[in-house]
Amino acid sequence: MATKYKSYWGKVVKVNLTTKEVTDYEISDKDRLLYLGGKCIAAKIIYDNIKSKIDPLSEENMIVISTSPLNAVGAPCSSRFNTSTISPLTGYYTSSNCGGNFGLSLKRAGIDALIITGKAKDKTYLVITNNGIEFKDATPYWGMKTQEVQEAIPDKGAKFVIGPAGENLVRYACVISGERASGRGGVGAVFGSKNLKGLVAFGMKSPEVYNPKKFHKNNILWTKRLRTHPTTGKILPELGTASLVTPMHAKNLLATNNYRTGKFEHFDDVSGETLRDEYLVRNDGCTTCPIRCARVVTVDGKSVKGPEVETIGLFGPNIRNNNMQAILDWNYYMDDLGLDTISCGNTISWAMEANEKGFWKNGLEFGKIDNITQTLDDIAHRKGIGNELAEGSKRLSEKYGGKEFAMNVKGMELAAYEPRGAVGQGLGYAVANRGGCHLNGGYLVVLEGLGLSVNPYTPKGKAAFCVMFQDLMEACSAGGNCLFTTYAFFPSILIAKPNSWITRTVNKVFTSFGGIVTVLLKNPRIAAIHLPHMLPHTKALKYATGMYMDLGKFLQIGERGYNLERLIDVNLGVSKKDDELPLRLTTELQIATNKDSKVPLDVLRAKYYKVRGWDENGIPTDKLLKKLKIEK
Amino acid sequence: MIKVLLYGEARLIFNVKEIEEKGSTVKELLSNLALRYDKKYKDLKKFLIYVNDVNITALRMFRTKLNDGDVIMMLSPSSGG
Amino acid sequence: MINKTIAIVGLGGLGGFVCEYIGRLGFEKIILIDKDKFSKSNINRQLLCTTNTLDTYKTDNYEEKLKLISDSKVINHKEFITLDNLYLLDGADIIIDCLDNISTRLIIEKYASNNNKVIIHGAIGEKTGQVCLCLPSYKMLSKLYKNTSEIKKQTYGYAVSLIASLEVEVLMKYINNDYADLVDKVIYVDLNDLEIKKLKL
Repeated sequence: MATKYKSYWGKVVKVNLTTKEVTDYEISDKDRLLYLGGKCIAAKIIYDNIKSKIDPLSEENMIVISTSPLNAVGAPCSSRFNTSTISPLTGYYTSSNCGGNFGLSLKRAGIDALIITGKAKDKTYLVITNNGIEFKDATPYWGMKTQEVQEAIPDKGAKFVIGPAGENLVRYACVISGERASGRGGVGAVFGSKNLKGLVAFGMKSPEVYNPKKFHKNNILWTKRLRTHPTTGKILPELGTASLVTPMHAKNLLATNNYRTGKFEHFDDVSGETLRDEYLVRNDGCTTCPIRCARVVTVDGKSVKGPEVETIGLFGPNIRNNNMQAILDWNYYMDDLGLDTISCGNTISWAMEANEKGFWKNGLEFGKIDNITQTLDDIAHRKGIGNELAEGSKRLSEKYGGKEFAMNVKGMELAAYEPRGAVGQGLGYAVANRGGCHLNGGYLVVLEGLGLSVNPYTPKGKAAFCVMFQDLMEACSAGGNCLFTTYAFFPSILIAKPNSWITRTVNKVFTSFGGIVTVLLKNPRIAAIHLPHMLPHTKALKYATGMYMDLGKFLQIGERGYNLERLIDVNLGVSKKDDELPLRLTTELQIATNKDSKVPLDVLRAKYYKVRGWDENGIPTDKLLKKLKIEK
Repeated sequence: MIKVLLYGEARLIFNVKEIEEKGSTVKELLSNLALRYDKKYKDLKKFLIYVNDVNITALRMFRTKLNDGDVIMMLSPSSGG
Repeated sequence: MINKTIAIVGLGGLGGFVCEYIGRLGFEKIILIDKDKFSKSNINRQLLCTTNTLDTYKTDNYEEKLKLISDSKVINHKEFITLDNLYLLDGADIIIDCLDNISTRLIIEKYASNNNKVIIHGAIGEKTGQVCLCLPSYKMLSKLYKNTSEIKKQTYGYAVSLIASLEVEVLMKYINNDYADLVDKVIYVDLNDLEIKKLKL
């Protein structure tokens, strides 16, 4: 299979674990142009192969690990790779993104994407090199945690492995590359269900780019922009994502006590500032990244990766814990066991409230931290109450009651942003394709208090921006970049000077631009431009691949990918009834004196469907699919 | 005669610790003080004024009746740190 | 260890001594709030202001000192309290007012009243000052400063230390539930006459 586009190999490989067959999988250049790579091309592959409900933990499920054109060619922040499958947590399409080295190594091994089907008879791991794919016996490594197994496997290269949680089919088990996770959706359990301990990739090649000189020049400008922007050049390297704890508390966005409030009085014990001042060894970053937002901290005497803000939020305020070291410890243990920290934390906080209210006596209590480490281990090994917690908050609440405080959408637990403090984020949680995801949902908190500060309680304008950000981030991921590169989209002054008259004016009028944004989204040809200062991605892709690319096309790739994901979900049964939020968020006021402090989901969702071009039941219309060139 | 004890800012204005003055109400007494020391009545109203250790806000403010032998304190709260 | 979180707002003259005394008593957590750096004019009264610490952040210096004299957890915010960042006080059980102006005091009093927090108020003029316990429902500071305008006055280290000591004593009385006699009262201090009076506000 050849491709006329540069930065691709034009090679997608399908591995059948049952038969041990390794075959080439055809992807047309037309599809490359339409879907680019990463999660969007993965959606195409899964859409073409899975058309109706399957058991995600059976042989019928498929895993697609996809790289992107900008991986391994020299762009900044380009380590990200995608893993897609049908989620055992939700039953719907999930795509999980990771910044570890595996994706770069897979690309260097000469492969754009890897498809894994079937189920291995014996415990297996795969070794992928420029010479091909080998099936190896994983029996000696089965049972090992992710850090140990990556050391133990003798094959040279970057590893992508599950821990005990994946082996034991914990519904939110993750896959680990180095110290980074393909965290959400339970991809690790799908690996485990296929008897697949993991993958090793090693390669020495990089594909050619189309216009090396211009590509390189753009990369230099891009890196400079990232280094000088207040968010990517100062806040993230200094404080990491943990920088968000303090502003989240200030703006009632810090889910506390299982999403009963948005403030935690001891927030400053677990803030990014405290992390930096008292626990930080140094910062760190993914390969190719100039931002370097990762934290390095000390756990059990070792220097290890520190937590992101969602983990801090869900294992801090949301379980009423203000012991930072405990959070650092648990974060490391969860990575080691191979557990998604977000779903895990949220399931535990549900269990604490269920215990408090007498729905289920499980020994877990808000503020009680001495039994958490053991609980995490029990979850990964499905022991005792761990066996139940491993099922996730949706299934548990269906069994014991307490659905109104089971903070998940479509079965996937919400992140640490309390959406009654930012109703646009609430919309995002409700409609995101992979479930209650803050990113796939459009990350509107960046407008509603954590970057800009538009009115967080009004539904006005939120639907349009939700769609735009969803599409933008979809395209960004498809191209291979870290989503943090999109922070530079916001002019520096708006971030650096939140009280300047410019920023205040922008905040006031921003929500009125919903109409303009909608017009732009429906007519991408208006945006046949590049905005290299704000979004260098489009030029990078143009010079790397030789494809025609501009802002409008970029957004449309995102729109197409997002709609295709939705279509997969629709085929698996999704509709408006699933785009719901737990009752606590739509009916209970977060602040008793503020009648707007709950999510007006009906209004938001209806507008969202309109802007998306879906019917009132949330199904993409034939007209839209035709426009996007998606075949039904 | 009413004894008027001065503290803080009030002491600085009048340049003295203690004054004897006449007045059947607080208002009258303050007016007399203003006249005698060439001050403005409205400036004197700003102080915390106690009559026999009770704040005039708990009495009848400037209409509080005064008797011979009463002790008035004029205080000003500090605001530095 | 006293199981309470104390916020010290203002680390100038009063704040410096309050910090020293509170540090040595042993509180679980101390929140320090001040955006200023030491400058030469502070040397006459601010505890940790020396020629060596000029132009360094006040909160950093006091945090360092606290670490040497206590096991308290210390949180250090290099901020001035405004209407936008009152959430910095959310974790405090008791707020010690060591501010140097009236308007911020009034902002904090409103916040404390809305959030059921206690303020220990202290202020100093040249050689006079006052201290009082502000319970959430009493509008002590609004009443106290009703007709007062902001006046900057020079003062002395030993004078601020006295006010600071009294603030800490009021704090301890509150913590030990021995404050019945402080409700709605102000302790006025006059170093000129060497008099301390306790009067109902």
